[in-house]
Amino acid sequence: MGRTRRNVATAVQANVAVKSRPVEIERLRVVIGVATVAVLLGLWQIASMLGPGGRLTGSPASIVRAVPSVVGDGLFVDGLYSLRALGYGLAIAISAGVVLGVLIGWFKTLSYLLEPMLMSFYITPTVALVPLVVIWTGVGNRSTAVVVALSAIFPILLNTIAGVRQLDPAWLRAVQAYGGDRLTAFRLIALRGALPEIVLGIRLGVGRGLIGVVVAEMYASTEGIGSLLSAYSHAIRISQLFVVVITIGLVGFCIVQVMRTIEERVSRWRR
Amino acid sequence: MAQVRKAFRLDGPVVLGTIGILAILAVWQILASLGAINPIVASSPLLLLDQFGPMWASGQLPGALAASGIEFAVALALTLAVGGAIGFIMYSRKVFEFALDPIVWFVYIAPIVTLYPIFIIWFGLGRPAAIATGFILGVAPVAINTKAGLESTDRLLVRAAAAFGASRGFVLRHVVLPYSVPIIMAGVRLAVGRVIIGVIVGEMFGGNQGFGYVIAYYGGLLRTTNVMVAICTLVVAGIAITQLVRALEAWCSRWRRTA
Repeated sequence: MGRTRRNVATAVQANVAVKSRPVEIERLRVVIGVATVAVLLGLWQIASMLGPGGRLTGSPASIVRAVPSVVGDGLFVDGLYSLRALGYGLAIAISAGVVLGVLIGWFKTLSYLLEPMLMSFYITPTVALVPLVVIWTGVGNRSTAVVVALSAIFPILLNTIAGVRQLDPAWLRAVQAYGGDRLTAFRLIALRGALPEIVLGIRLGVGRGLIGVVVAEMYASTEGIGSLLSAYSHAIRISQLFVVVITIGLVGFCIVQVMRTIEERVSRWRR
Repeated sequence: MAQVRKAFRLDGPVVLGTIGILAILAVWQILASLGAINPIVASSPLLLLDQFGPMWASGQLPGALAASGIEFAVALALTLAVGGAIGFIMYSRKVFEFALDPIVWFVYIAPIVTLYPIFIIWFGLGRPAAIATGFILGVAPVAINTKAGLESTDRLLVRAAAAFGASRGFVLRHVVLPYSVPIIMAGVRLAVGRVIIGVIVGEMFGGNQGFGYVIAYYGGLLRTTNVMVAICTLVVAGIAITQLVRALEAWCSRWRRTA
């Protein structure tokens, strides 16, 4: 876990380094990036027009043409339904993950007791738990929310633990020296000091939760974006399938960007 | 040595960790025995032990291990080869980095698992779809971390080697590559987890063998105990793979300790 975080830190540093570089290189980056994507889309379009398998590969044009039919099939209705499950699941994951994480990070005995179990749960691919969750909670929004919670809780929990552990013990002594009781110390240091890691964990959790929504709904649901996906895949309607996948990708991207902004704000004081 | 003794102390991680797991298992078993939870729905540790034997003897679990293992190995090999190559290309020239960056990040961030129905249509049911799903999930972290790792090399070391007349290839092989191992291996570890998820998803939805298939099959029959036995076996295999990667990582960066 420590490695992963350092890794994220490197990525963040790399971002900062890029920002401080001259504007021209930055512009070049955007131009080349956009150009590559455009060329690839163009090649895809041409190949699908020339080749025989157009129906099986879709094409940029056919995907755009498919948008109205997907909206007509309930893209927004199903999307909102799935977003609601995502919201419930994340609410569970965040509250449980942060509370447990702060406790485990703060009390060593508790961490020794629970860590092996948590690690084996962490290694378990959440998708493998989907059938169990469906048996326990039934088909529908409730099982989707539970799958989301299970998918999202571990990044939140582990990052919260790491965030609490890296707190400077000197802060605790400082709070005590100024007459703060344990509760104040806990609130001021554990919660606020670990906030950047907690938010990072939530961001990672959101990404996993999104996958959880889709997989859970594909496995057993008659509503939501996942069931829309499996309906299109059974009907081999590739262009419509791509519309749904791209929509999910865009929504995920937006959520992650918002989380990034929040993350930057709450970790500003560290620098 | 002192560290080992500390780990095994009464209030150390090993003893308390074992107690934690045993306590949970005991509570679970007692609740099931008392009838507080329905064993058909929630199973129990003894039921799991009971079912493990037959499922192993019937060849179901070894078969799943072999099938998922092969798919995992192929997907991981593809992931490492392609991801490593993409990372190296991105590191080698700025133009390539700018060109590939948006695509790699899109593949990394977008919930790419959702593409699996398309893979089934393209590659057919069974093995190829599982391998493709595993590959597409794992390839981005390898590429991103390979590039980040290669770039993390201390410029001073590269300049020093060059000053002593080392060729570009020599510098790459003996300075840049060893130096970037920790970050590259972090990517490999991320990729291992994601490849496992991809393979399981592929098997669950479009497979006829492997753990994903076994889990989905018993899940459909509402046989909780068999589902849990399969999951537990999968977790043990997952832990083994993770430990293997850890060992490999330690072996790759053993030169650091002597320095």
